[in-house]
Amino acid sequence: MTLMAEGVKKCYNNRLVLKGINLLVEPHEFVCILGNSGGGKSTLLNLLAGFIKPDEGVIKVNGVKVTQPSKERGVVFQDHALFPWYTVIENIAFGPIVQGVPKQEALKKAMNYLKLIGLQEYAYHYPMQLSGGMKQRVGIARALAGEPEILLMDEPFGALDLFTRENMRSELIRIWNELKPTIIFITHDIAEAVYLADRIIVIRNGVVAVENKIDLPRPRNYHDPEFRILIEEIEKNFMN
Amino acid sequence: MENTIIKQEKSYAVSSNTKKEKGWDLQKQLQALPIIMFFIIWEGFTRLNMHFSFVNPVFFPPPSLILINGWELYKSGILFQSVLSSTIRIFIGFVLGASFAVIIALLMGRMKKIEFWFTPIFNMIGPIPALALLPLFIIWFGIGEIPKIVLIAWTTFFPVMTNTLDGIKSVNSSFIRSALSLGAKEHQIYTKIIIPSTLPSIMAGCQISLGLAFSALIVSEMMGAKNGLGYIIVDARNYMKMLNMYVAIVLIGLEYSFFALVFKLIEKKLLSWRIGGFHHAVEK
Repeated sequence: MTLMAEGVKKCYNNRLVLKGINLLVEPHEFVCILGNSGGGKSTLLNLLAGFIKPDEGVIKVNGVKVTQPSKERGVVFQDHALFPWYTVIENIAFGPIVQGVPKQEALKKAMNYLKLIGLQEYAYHYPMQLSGGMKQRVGIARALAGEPEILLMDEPFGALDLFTRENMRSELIRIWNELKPTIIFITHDIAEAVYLADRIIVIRNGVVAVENKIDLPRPRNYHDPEFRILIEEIEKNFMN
Repeated sequence: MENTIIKQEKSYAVSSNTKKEKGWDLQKQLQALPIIMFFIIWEGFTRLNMHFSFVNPVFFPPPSLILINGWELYKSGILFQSVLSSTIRIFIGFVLGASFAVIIALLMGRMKKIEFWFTPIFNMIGPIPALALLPLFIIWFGIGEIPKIVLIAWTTFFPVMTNTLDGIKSVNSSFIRSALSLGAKEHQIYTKIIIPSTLPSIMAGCQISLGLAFSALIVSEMMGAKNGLGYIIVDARNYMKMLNMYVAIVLIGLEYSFFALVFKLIEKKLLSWRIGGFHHAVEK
């Protein structure tokens, strides 16, 4: 499962937000896209998901052009977008059910993903009864239960507090190690990107400014000297 | 709604839970108090009036006499017949009007062309008071059940339609996006996303319509009907049977309250996932 973007351009309100993005993501790779607010990273994610269409250029998954949203590209939203009228388990089973899996089987499958995120006892709660971090874990489980080939994550931990955010990062790495999905993760937090990614792509002024491969062994430690050096290096690229 | 909250609290804080359940029950019982007071004061004042004649006592009878009169009417069979036919009329008219409204709103939300053609026309004919149309409906459809049901359906239609359309337009686009990227097809987007998230708006529209539909019912029964609560009122006016008139008025109030209660129960069942409002914002 390879994702490729070639010369992708996108205008918003007469402003060129993306000025020709080239991207190649390999199977099982964890890629972080780093950029500042309003820098077009969410636009890029919406393009990859197929919610919006590029003005120029093309996005291909396994050589096939992306024209619309599809179950092969699961999305985790910053505002989690859980359906408030469904319970947690029904939310997670949504993907399998709409894809035609029989209900009982879908619920069983959903239960497995619920176990993966460790929220079994909340199966019959409604999303509104959960905390922010729990909601986002359900959001991840829901996206995974749709069995996508690639997971697109749009600043999923942006709205969480520092402590929860750090827990969620290690949780995500644990899940990724277990299932090995391809992940494209959008963030503006350099430490987050360095903690998570195999590769960091920095987007600035609508183009890919720089790419960094992160070879640190996992689990990574924020206080590791090498970790700090990487952050400073990226910070330098990011700022000027 | 209350249930889920209580259930959740039960698992975490047993002690506070019992206190809350009790408090809520008491409040429910207290709701009847103002109504009981209303009737007591009415009875007291009209009994005094019978002695001192501040106003003509015939025009303003006490509730006890109305109740006795109601019992007599019931025994004669007129009352049951009237309540039954009024209930059937409003039920059929309301369900027809609301269903049409939801279907049209869904079509308008789906197809820009339909919205383009229908909205200005609805805006033009929607504000015409339905009661102004009743004579027309009677000429068109005769004086049977059809004009009454058409009038009720017509009155129900507009508030439900506008509210539903408004609800459809304000569906969170993240929900639709997320459903699409989980593999939902278009009809599933409708049944699993758009309709559930529009349900609160549909219910709000229905609640507005219910009051209007009742006016339509009563007025349509005042013109060319042989039974029904509106008919009792007109008949009572023609023969100066004041007590009958009061019986019908009270019954209209009761019947509306009954429908409103049924509505509340349906809403509670359908929208049990909704938590919000002042009640849940601040604990007192």
